[in-house]
Amino acid sequence: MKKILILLITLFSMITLTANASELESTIGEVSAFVQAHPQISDAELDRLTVILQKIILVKDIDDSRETTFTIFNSYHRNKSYYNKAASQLSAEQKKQIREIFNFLEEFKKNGNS
Amino acid sequence: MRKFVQFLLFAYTMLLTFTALAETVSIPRAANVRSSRTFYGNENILDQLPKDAQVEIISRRPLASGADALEIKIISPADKVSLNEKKPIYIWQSKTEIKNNLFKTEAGLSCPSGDCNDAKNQPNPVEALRNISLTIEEEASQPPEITSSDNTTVKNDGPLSGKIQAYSNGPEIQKMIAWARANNNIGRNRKGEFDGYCYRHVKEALATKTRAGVGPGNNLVPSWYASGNAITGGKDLKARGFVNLLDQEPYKKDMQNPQNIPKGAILIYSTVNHGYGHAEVKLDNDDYFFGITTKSPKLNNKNYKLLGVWIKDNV
Repeated sequence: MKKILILLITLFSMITLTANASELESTIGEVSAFVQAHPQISDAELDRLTVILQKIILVKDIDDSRETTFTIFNSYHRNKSYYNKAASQLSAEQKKQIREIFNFLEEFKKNGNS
Repeated sequence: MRKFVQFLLFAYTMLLTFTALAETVSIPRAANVRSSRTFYGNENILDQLPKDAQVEIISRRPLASGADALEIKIISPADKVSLNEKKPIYIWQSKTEIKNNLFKTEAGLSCPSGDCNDAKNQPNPVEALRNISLTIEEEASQPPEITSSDNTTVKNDGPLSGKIQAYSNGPEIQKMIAWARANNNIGRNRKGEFDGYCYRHVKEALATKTRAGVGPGNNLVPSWYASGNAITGGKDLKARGFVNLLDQEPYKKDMQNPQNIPKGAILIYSTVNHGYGHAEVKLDNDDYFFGITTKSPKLNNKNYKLLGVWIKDNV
């Protein structure tokens, strides 16, 4: 019985890990496609950008190397006003989280990676 | 039912075809049997086959160096046959060995090309002499055998491999890996998130000393150094005696596969995400370190372009 339980837990962990990796990969792909398709964001992309930001928040905890955050680096610095507009449409908790991401992007721009 | 029988017959025919295509050869020298297609370092060496061992070649994959990676099944000697259980297993066939057909198809064994005993295909005496001189030339160009840290003598499989092997097995790399393992969260902020300083932490691992001066130091570099971002890391490393394997012709293509990246190598990338680039160090167990430890090098990410795989030349 104990062995079956361990097996089930292992199986569940493996499924969760695989699902997380796949979810993260898919979000990175989606974010990357968006920023490449829209180097200059306009009002027309605002709703889509809001969804993108929500997705970045969703995978934040499994995105260990902040890949999704780095993916929006150029786009954020080019279209800051739109990113702030999109952020204003988020819930209070989401706003707090996206603000932290924006702060990280500001710091990274200032300090680089060395 | 009829369709099922037809399918079985088809599968059986295919199996027979593949069996007929399998090539059984005799190896002209002792060869390392490896568990992967990485032909330097000793991490994946399972055993060594003696000269004249017979193997069945299951598949053949050309390497960038012009050599071939052969997936094999051991036929003889009998005491090595048990290695087949660890399949897939591989041996290396050099460019010269391919060119000169030195892996001989034995009489009485299957001969896929059908020209094994064809006299017109045998090299004439002048050619034979030239082949021997080419073989000697390649053997002479091989780096000397290296004794690894566990005192096992490892045969080098290709040019430059001696240097790479020595680098990966060197005490500096062991020290760097131990430091990175002990500091595998150095790149996390108070909330446990990555702080973004990939190149800073790579330089700390190289020195085994933090930017703040904590740690023994005097490793691959004497101490942490101030620099630009990761994108210009190649220049920094070159100035400190590192060489880029992407500039070494036989390795240029192989380095695109994470499996082939030597342990302890520093990887430098450019990225479409921003202009700062990215740096990471390959540790053991296929882990990569840049302040945090991950199993996913940026080599797998299409937004990154590998600019350099750097190892220290004189280690």
